[in-house]
Amino acid sequence: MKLAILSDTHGNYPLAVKALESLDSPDYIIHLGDTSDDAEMIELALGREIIKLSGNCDMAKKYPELIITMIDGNKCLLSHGDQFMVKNGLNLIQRRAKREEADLVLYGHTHRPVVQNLNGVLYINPGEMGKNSRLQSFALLSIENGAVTAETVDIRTILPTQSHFSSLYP
Amino acid sequence: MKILLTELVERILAGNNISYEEALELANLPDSETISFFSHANQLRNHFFGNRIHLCSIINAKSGLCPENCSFCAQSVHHTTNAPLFPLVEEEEIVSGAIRAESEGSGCYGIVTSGSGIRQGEELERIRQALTRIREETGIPPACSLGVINLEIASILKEAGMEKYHHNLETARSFFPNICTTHAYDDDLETLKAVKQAGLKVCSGGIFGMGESRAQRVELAFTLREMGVDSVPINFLNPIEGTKLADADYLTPMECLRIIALYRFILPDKQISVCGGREKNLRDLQSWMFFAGASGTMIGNYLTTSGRAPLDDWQMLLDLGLTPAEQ
Repeated sequence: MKLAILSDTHGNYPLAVKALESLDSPDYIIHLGDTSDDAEMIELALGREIIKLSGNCDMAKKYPELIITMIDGNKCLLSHGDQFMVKNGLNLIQRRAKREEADLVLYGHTHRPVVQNLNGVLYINPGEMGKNSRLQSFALLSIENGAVTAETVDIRTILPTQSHFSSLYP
Repeated sequence: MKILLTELVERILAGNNISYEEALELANLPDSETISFFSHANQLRNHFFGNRIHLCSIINAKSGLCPENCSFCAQSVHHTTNAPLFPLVEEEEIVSGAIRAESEGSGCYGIVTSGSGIRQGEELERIRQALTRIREETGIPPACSLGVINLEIASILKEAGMEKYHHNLETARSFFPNICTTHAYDDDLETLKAVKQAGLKVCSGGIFGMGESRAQRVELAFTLREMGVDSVPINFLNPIEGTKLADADYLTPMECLRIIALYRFILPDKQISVCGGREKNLRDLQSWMFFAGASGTMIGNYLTTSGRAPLDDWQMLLDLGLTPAEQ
């Protein structure tokens, strides 16, 4: 099973669409918030439903702020991360992950792409895709027979014409 | 009360509908009238359907990670359950399922997917192609249950060979906020209207035993009647660990049968099929469902729970002197 994880697109959904279109049709796409409006636009552009969460910039909170679900035998905790103050470190989200006995944590908010294993739990932050960000990225997750592999993907590696400070839609 | 039931049946057979107040009275009949209630419902079933029972099957074509928060659903992303998770299956698997359903004597094959509603894109195209092949390669009419759709999507599916679209209202409007808050009841009603407008048959029913009142069961039945649905699946809640309704325990086998009989009186000429939760809730009284007024049942497995072997249901029909409608 292949999953594409995005977060913090902050209005730059066209780039997200381009990035996702370049992939080999992931089984699931998850947007971790900021903004869920972008997630809705991505759905319209791709003609498929994506899993949407609300971030701190999603004032209406149309979508859940926390999802705990099983994916191929792995208990997954999905959150934008603001409610766990991830910009100050991962202590709070680690505590929640421990309480939920999660195997996998997907979070955003910090705008920094990360894949790290902490006490046996895999933490994945896809980074951001904002128009003016220096590093635009997302994450790819593969779950086969319960085993998880993950990587973050620099947009420039799949869309080489994409420069640091521009979006494809000026 | 016996006189009331007989009078109601006579009026229905003369082409009249029962009133809301009469339906409420039926919903609250004393236990002493239960068997008579069933007997009269059976009379209605027999009048409109004879000894023919409609059998239907489904394939869980895409499972899990549904963004809706329906409190009964194991596949909701808001719950943590062991529901299977997989993306839309390949076209070949959908078509193979239809061939198998036909060989098991099913008269309708439903392609069911999780999610809020399908839209234009790869998934719809795959289903469209599967529908076309099912039409070409089998004799079983395909149906779909793909969530909230609009007229455009309904028309595409009809063009591909779909005859019927399924979309449950699940419960009464007055109880709906207790069940789902991620979409509006009107979204579901609009889907039924779009399906009708596209010229398709509408299959819509509900899940019972979620805590709704008897009056709310009547309310749902009247909504379905107003919407002019063609067939009504009746599901009984199978409480799933990890869902909000995991501890629900509102139904007895006799109460389930009374719901069937009630719906037969309110929707006398509609296909009323007992679907999910049948084995768990009716237990040894499964065969009574036809006596209580059901004119159909689902065979094989449900979405995330197992059903009993189709051969066992065939034997049940034979033992009752009933026959599958499509034979």
